Amino acid sequence: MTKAWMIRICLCLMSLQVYGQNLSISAVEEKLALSVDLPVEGKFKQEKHLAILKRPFVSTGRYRITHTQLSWETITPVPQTLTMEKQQVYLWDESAGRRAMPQAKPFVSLIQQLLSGDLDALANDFTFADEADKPDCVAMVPKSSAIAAVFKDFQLCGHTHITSITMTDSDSNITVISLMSAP
Amino acid sequence: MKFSFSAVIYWLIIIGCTLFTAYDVSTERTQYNADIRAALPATNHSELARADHDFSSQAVRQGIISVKAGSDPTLLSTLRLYLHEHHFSLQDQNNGHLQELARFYAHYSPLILSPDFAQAIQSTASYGDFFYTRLAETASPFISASIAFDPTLNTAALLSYLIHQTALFSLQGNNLVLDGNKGRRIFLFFEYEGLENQEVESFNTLASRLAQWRNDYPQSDILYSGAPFHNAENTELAKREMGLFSTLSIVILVLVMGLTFRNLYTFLYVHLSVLAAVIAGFAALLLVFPTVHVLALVFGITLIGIAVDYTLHIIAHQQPLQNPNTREIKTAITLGFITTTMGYCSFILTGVSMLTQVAVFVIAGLTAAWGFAMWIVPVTATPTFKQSLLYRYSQGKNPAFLMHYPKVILSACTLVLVLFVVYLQPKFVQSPAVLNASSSMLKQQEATHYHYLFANQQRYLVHASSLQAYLEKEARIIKQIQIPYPDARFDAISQWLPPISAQLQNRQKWQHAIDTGIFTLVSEWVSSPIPTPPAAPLTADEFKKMPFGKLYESHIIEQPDGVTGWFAVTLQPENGDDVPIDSIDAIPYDKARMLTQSMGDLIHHVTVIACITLAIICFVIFYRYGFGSALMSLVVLFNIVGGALVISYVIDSMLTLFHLLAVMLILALAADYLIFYLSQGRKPNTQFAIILSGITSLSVFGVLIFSQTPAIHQVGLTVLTGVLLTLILTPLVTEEFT
Repeated sequence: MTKAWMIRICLCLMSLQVYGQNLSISAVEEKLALSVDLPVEGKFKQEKHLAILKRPFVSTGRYRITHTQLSWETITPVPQTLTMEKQQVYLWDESAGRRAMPQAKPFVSLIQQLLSGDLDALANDFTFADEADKPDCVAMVPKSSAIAAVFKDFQLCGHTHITSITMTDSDSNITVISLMSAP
Repeated sequence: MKFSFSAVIYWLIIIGCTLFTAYDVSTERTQYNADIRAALPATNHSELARADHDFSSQAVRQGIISVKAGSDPTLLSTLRLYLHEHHFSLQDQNNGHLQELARFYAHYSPLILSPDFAQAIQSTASYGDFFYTRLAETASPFISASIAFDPTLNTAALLSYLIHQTALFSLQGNNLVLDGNKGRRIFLFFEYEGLENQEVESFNTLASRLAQWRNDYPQSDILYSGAPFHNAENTELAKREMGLFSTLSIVILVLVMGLTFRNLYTFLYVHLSVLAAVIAGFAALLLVFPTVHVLALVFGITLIGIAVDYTLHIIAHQQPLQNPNTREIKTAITLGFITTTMGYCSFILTGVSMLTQVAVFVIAGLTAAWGFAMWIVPVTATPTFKQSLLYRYSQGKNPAFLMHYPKVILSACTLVLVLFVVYLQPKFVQSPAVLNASSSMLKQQEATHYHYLFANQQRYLVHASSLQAYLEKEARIIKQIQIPYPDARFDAISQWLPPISAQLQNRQKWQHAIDTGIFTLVSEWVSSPIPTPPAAPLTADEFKKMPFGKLYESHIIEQPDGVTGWFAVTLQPENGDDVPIDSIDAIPYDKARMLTQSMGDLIHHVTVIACITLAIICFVIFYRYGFGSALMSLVVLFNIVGGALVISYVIDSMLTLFHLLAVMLILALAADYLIFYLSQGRKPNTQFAIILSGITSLSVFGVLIFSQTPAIHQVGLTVLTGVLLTLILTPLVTEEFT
């Protein structure tokens, strides 16, 4: 219990850091030195640090992104797969099978843009900012008041490819996604 | 000059009308519009029609602009700034109330279950899968917003489900984005909130600016649509045409009368009668209606052509001394006035608001013209028209073939007409789209936006005796549709506000889950308590207080005899857009289809009215002039009406309601001419008056055929051909011929 609170406090402090100067797309490219050649695939680990949870909730899985498709497959604790093809999002799980899931489209589009390093598309919805003391990270602040009402900010870290995404919601709950590219 | 008591009263009324009109125009008391829907029939007078009226009025003020996604951000900020500075309020998708919404529904969580939650709480294992699956969702705003209030995650699942059901757009920045056949587009929805009498001008200016921006940003593919843009275009066109046509009509009238009479007094009497008629008609219109349709005024121009007739008949029979036929002529004028008024009265029965205004305008105007002929025009005067070309023509002998074979000619005409009808088989077009005077560019943009916003969607109207009965009915119909179409999305109030019976059933399921320990898993992960059932179910009054409470007003109309509402079904593209519902409770709510059906009904209705009017005219003629004249008149009228419709069909390639409405005018005019010919014979004075009034009618209706407003063009064309045929065929009923 104490450990959970400690982590929460640390994560809250992380989210309260002051952003540096705004960055242009070219500055972000230079900083992260992104070099993404599709298709890309790998594994992910997601940790949810919600204030209401007694302990962080961890889920793991794998992802694959091509020029035409994104697959985000959660393996534990319960298998389910989100896919996006031709701008349509589908969810598959064992109990309900495959079904359209347009409400997940904003998230899936965001993941697709992040994993493929599409900074131009990200720049439509976010402003990039420098992260002090973190040479391999940039902060992304939502431009839209609608997104900002839910997520305060995102942090993107990596070198040549994205290795972690940290999302802080309006209640200061934090989700950290660690990405491990397949060799 | 001495005036009789009746003449004094008459002038006082006309002066009163003039003062009232001047007051109304100067104070802008009455509003003007050119909404083409006023020219369309109202749907049936049922509770569903009333609801349709209310629902339509919600959309009538909305304008829509769209640009290609990825357009120059400067354009979007310029657009937003312009709209803001010119009293247009933008309607953005408001997701800022998610926390509030979560708190609200979390309170009712034990009563309102999302479909997959309701399925999951049947066993501990399935609920475990549900709980972990939901919790593992990445970047779910619903979990973040609701888990503190409802750790079972039912509220998160419910909000996700509800938003999925109704949300049409995705967000790019603060922009609403939609995919469609022309790629991704950003949409702006707005309403005008400035002064009502400046709305038309504001939308016209906005349309001009949009055209300018289209040139400045050619890659952005700017499109705009919405009822206010159509209204603005139509109003401008109608105002322009009204000015042009009334000027042309008056110029022609002045020329014809000037050349014919060459006498200032006579000339003045003719034009004063028209002026008195126009003032009386306009004053009646302003007195009766709070909003005047500009198209009614354009149609009203036809009054100029008819109002002059009565005065012409008096003038044509003026003699230096008392004319013994004066009484007979005035009787004929009164008879003609009654039949014409009856013809226009039929417009009131159509239920079309614009035609009702036309009827009021013309009937009031004709009454003034009739009064002018009865009391103002002197019956004794030196005729000055006898030297005119027209009068000399009227004195000419009748063509020999007309003299000897009128019945043969009429029979031949009838045969030719029947052959044409059989060969062409003309049918009436019932679609209201053919009456829209908007530019083809605006219509095309409207169609593109419609496809983006309503593709694969079908709306239904439901009526019930009470709100709870309505919600029960709607929920039952939705369940029926979900069986063959599980992926269908529903924009329905019963999804947000389930019927109380369903809420009570859910409470039992919830209690069962608590009793069987299904929520044990929750307490392993979450420290906050599981919600307890609220004391009272969610009611409409409570629902209206929530952030999405306006959904209720947009979906439900409360009426004296119950509640009417609508719901929409959106199918996956592969399923098409036609949902076969096996229920008499849901009526497809397709505005275009409803109007087409109403138009069909109205065409049938007007046809019956025309037949009844025809029968009345023939009966009056039979009563006054005998069976032979009535039969001849019937054949003449049949040829006039049939001929006018066939010629109109050949020229316009279609027949619509407005061609048919023109038939009513033709019948009214033809009845006038028939009665004069039957009462006076083909005397030079009678023939002179009829030909002169025919020429004025032709000139007035003739200019209408150049109108770009389809309805006005159609009336103009049919009446023009009808009046021509009337001038040719009505003399055949006179004694000289028969």
